[in-house]
Amino acid sequence: MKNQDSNIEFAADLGQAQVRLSPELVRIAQKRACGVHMLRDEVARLMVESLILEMDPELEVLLDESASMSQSDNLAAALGVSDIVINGHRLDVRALAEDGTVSINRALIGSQYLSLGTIVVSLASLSEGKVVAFLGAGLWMKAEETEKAKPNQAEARLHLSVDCRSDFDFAATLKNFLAKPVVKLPSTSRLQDVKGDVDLLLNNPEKLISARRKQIFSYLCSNWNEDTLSLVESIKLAHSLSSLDMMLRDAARWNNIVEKLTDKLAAQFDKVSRAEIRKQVLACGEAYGAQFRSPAFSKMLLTNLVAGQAAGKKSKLFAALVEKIMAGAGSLEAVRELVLNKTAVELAHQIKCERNLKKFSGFVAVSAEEIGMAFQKLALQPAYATHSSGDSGVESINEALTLLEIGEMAEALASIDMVSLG
Amino acid sequence: MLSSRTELAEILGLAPDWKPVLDSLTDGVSKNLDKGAVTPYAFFEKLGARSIYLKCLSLGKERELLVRILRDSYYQPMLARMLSSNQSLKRFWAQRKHPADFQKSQAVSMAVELAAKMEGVLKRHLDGGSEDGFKVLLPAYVQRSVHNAAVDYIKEEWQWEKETLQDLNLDPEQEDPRQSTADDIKYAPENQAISREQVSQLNQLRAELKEMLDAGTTEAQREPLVVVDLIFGLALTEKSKSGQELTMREVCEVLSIAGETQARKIARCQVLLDKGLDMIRNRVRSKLPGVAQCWQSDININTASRRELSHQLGLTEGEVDRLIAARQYYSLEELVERGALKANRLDELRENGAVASFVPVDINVCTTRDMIDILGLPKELAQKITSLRPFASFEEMEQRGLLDKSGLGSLIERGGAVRAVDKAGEGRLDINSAAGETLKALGLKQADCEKILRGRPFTTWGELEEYLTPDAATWQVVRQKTRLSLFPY
Repeated sequence: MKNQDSNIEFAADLGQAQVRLSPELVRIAQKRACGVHMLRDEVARLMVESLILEMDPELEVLLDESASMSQSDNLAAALGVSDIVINGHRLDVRALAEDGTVSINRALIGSQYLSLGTIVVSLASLSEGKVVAFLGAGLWMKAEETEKAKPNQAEARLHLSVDCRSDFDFAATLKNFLAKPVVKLPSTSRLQDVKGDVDLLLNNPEKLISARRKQIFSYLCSNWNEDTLSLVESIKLAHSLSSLDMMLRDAARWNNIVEKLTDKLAAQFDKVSRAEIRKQVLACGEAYGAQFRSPAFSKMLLTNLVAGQAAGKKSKLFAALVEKIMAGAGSLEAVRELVLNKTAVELAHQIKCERNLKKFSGFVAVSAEEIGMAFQKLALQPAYATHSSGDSGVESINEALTLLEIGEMAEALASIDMVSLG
Repeated sequence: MLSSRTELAEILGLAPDWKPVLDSLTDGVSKNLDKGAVTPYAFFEKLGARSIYLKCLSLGKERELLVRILRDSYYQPMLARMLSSNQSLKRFWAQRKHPADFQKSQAVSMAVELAAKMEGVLKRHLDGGSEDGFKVLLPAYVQRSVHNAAVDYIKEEWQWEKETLQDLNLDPEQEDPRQSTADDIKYAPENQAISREQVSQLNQLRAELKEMLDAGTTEAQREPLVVVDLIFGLALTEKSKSGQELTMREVCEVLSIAGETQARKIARCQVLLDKGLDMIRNRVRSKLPGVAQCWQSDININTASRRELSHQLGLTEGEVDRLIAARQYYSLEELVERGALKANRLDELRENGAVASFVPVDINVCTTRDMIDILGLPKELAQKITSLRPFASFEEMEQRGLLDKSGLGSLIERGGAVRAVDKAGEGRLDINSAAGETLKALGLKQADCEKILRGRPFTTWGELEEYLTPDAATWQVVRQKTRLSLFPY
C-alpha cells in the first residue's frame, strides 16, 4: 500500500536503494549547508531518510528526528555531524566523494556517535543517489590508527577509501544492524565548564588537542537531549564557513564598486592619480558604508576629489558649491548664487564658453584679451574694468572661472551616480 | 471535551477484552509514579495496530466512535509529535525566522488536518474490509504520511511566496510578506547594503589576502587562494575579473585543473576551494578580530520593520517612532546624535545585531510601505506615487505636482532614488522571474525548467549550478542567455 501522493520517486526497488529527492528538499538543504562537505552529506542523509520512509511499514523502522544530533546547525557546520536515529540506533551518513573516499571529522571517531558506523551514499546529482556501502565503526578507528603514523595527521578530517558494491542490499544490511544491540561505549560523564568547552570545540578547535576534542564530543553524545541541543545552539559560531562566504562575496562586491567607480572618476579627474581616487573611494566607504548612491557618500567623495583636481587653488566656497550642485542646481546657477560680483560670473561664463570651443581646459588665469572679448560678447562697456580698484576685478573673474570649472566637473560627477555600476 | 479517564473508559466500553492490557499498563505506571497516568495514546500503542484494526472490523455501529477516538487520541498526538520534530519543516520555518510558538501552533494545526485525513483512509480500509488495512495504524505508515505532508506544505508555501512577493501595495498595518521569506533573500546583491564597519574590515581583508598571495612562493601554496579568488570574483590575480563570479566548472577551465573526468576535476577544485577558505578563515581569525561581530549583525535599522525593531532589537515603542522618523542613518552613533536613542542603549542594540547601512529605495519598484517607513512620506502621497509610477526622473515627480523642491531634497537625503535601467544584461532573461515557457524557449530541457522554477530564487551562479547540475550544453545556454537578478524586485 502506497501513499497517494508520494514525493519520493523510485528508479529501482528498495534493495537497489536508489532514491530521488524533491527539489524543494534539496533547496532547503542547500540553504542550510555552510560548506561543500556539509551539503553533500546533508543531501545524502535526506536520501537515506527517504529510503527508510518508503520501507514497508510492517518492518516498523522508525526515524526519530528529534534524537538526531544533525538537527543542531552548529554541530553540523563545525564538525560535520550528519546522523539519523532509527529505532534508537544512531547511524552516520556520508556522501561518497568523486575519488571514492568518504571523510569525517576526527573528533567524531571513537565516540558513541559512530558506535554503529557509516552509511555511504553515492550521489549522481544533488537530487539523485544510491546507497552503496556500509562502514563499520571499527574501520574508522583502524584508519585513524594507521594514519597516526603518517606525517600529515594534523588535518581535521580523516579520509577513508570505500569498497563499493553495485549489488549492495540496503534493506537487508539495515535490518541486520537494527537487530544488533546498542553497545554503550565508555564516555565522558562530566565536563567542568560545558558551555566553555563546547564553545572552544566549535569555534577554536585548534586550541584543543585531539584527545580533548574527542572527550568533549563524546560528552555531547552521551548527554544528547533537548537541553544539550539548546546549549549547543546558544553558542555563536564566530567564523563559520557561511559567514566567511558572505564576507568574501561582500568583498568582491565592494571591490567591484571601488574599481568601477575609480575607472569612471579617473576619466573625469585627470589631475588626480588613480591611486588617489581609489584611496578616496575606500575612505568614503569607511565613513558611510558601501552605498555610493547615498547623498553623503557622493558629497564627501566629490568634495575631496574636486579639491584634488583644483590642487592648490582650494577655496572656502568649494563645499558650498558642491552642496548646491548635489542638491540639483546647475553649475552656473550655483556659482551665481555664491559669487557676489555678478558681472564677474557672466564674464567668466563667456570666457569659459570660448575656451570650451577651443577645447582648452584647466585652470589658466584669465588674459586681458579674453576679458576684452567677453566684454564685447556681453555688449558691456568696460567701465567695470576701469572703475574697479587694482586687480580685484580680474581676481573675481578668475575665481568665478575656477568655480565654474569645478561646478561643471561636479555636475558631470553627479550624473555618474545614476549610472548603475551593479 | 472528554477527560482521559472517561476516554479510556469509553474505549473499554467498546472493547471490554482490552482490560487486561490496560491493567498491565496501569500496574507499570503505579510502580513508576513519576511518569503520570496512562494516556489513551500509550494504551493504543501497547495494543498494537493489528489488534486495534481487528477490533474496529468486529465492531458494528460503534465502529465510528472508536475511529473518532483513534483520530483524536492516537493519530493526533502521534502526528503532532512527528510534525513538530520534522527537520524539513523546522528548517523551512527557521530560514523564514518564524518564532517557536508559531512553529508549534502550525505543527498542531497540520496534525489536526492530517489526523482527519488518516481517519478517512482508515475508514475506507475498514469499509472495504481489507486484510492489511492495519498498516494504516502503524507508526511507520504515519511517519511516511507526515513526510509527504511536510513536503507538500513546503511546496505550497514556496509557491505562495513567489506569488505574494510581487504585491507591492501593502498597507503599513499589513504584515510584510518579505519578513516571512527565507533568510538568504536579503543577501541578494541588490538588497544587501554593506555598513561602514564592514567596509573597513573588507579594506583590511583585501590587504591581508594580497599579502597571503604574495607570500605564497610555491604553486601549491597559491593555488587554493587563486581558486577562492576566481570563485568569488575578487580580482586579486590576473585571471580573476572584478565582479565576475565563476562556477567550479569555469574555474577548472581557467586553471586547466587536471582530471580524467569533469566530475573529478570539479572534485579537485572543491578540495582546493575548501583549503583556500580554511587558509583565509584562519587568517581572519588571527588578524581581523572584529570580523565575526560585523557579519553576524544582520538587522539594518534603516530597513527593519517595526516588528523587527521592537521584537528583535528590543526597542521601545517611542524609540521605534523616533528612529523611523529620522531615517536613514549611516552609523548607529547617529541614533544618539539625532536623539532617537539614549547613549547607554547603544551597546545593547549592537549586541542584538543592529547595523546601520544606507539603502537606496527605488521609487519605481519599492513597496508603499517602504515609502512610508523608510522615506517618511505621508501615507496618501505614497499611495498616489504608487498609482502613478513609473517615473523617469525626480523632475517628473516635481512637474506632476507630487513633491516640491524641498520635499524632493529630503526624499533624496533619505534614500529615495529613481533608478535608471541597468543596461548590462538588459536583453537577457532573468532566471529568477522568467516564466517556464520562456525558459523552455531558450532551449532548456523541460525537467531543468521545472527544477529552476521550483528552486528559485538563486543568488549566485555557483548556487544555481550546484542545484541544477546541468550538462555542459545546458549550462552554456544558461550562462549566455540569462541573468540572475535581484529578488524580489
